[in-house]
Amino acid sequence: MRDKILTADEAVAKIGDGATVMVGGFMACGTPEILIDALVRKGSRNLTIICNDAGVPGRGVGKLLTNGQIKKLIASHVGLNPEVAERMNTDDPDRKLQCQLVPQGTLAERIRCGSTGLGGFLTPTGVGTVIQGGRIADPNGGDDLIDVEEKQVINVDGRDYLLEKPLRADFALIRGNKTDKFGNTWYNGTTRTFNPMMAGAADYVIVGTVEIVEIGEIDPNNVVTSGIMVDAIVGGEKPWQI
Amino acid sequence: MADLKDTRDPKTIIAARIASELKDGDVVNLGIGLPEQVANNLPEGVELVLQSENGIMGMGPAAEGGKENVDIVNAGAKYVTVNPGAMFFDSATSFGFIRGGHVDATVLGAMEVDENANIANWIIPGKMVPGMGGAMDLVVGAKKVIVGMIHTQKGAPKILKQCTLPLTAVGVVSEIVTEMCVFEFIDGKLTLTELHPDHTVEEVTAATAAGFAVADDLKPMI
Repeated sequence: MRDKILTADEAVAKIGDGATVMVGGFMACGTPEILIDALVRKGSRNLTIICNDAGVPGRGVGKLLTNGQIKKLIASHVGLNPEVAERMNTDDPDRKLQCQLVPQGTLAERIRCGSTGLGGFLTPTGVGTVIQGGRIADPNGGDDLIDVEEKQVINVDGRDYLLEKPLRADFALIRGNKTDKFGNTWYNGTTRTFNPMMAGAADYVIVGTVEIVEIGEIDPNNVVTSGIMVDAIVGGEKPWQI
Repeated sequence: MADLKDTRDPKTIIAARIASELKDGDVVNLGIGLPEQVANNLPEGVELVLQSENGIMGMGPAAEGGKENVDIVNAGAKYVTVNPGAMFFDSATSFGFIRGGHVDATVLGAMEVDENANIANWIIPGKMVPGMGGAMDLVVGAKKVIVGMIHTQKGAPKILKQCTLPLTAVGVVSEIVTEMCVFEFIDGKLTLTELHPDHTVEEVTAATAAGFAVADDLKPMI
């Protein structure tokens, strides 16, 4: 079987300027920091990052933000990283960040659709809000804070739903606690987050994992992400700590 | 009467009142901040199944120093414990629980609520753009939406005729609990159902921009 084990720098070598990259985790818990660090070293720019949040400064995708590598961030919550607001508001084109906010459940399900071949899904979340379609202007005269393309509203048995479309990416950076050499991955505690959906929703999937084990060492009952989804495995991820 | 005044912190008054209506075994999602205090004010014998939307059903108290499990945090990225019978899951599953109506109640704060049960709590254009996180899903999916908040923003009403901030959802609020009173939406009408003994209906009216009815059986808020 093809050897999928690479160094972090080898694994991210294909992530070029302008790529769209999904990053697992929730407030950086479940984010593969060794892969983020490698992407910082590589220095690819104008990235579109899809992640639940912006991490915090110095953690998770916060490192990519500080290094000026993100052009567009698709996330559900950015309030715990003050650098997001600063970069959204700046007039400096080199620092400018475009931020697209998506409700957390909708973000997770759009990625799941991207991983499972579905053309989208119907959700009651966001009906009657700007998420259905519209803009929120910046009263300080900057770019629109929110700009959402009008979505189809579909009524099923008397209730309105929004049609939300699938999300896919060029790359996914996911984090496991135990990964066998085929790529089968088990996640510990609350690190699972967006990782299993993202593993199916990108063309090239890299797992940064705490422990690499032999094939067969993970009980099939405990495999959450199948190795068929995984293109590259990088060991040496640290147990997550606040 | 001054010696009869409720000396508790206003946020504790709110958290304790919300805790008093939750039933043993209820599946509840508590927002960050004031709503988290609800878990510390539960009546004797009431155990909740707490959901943390980052991936826990059956969350326990905060982890004691030195006993943290590095891979287990709550949605505020703080170390927590899990109770016997807990489950970990991914974010799609988490919001399946939420939208699917499997969460009995969500308790969250708000910047504005209005008399049509609309809520706004995710963006103040020009001031802050934190994002909605899981709030938009929680308020449409949970069976009961309890807003716990200080009654006014430094004297400015937050319970309005119509929200002025971008909405989190339309017509979803079940109940508003403040340090002054409890409002419930009864047959779609904002109704004052409980009044804190330190306040009068006139004081509530002065601090509230929305129109409201007063329940025939207005009760003291404890």
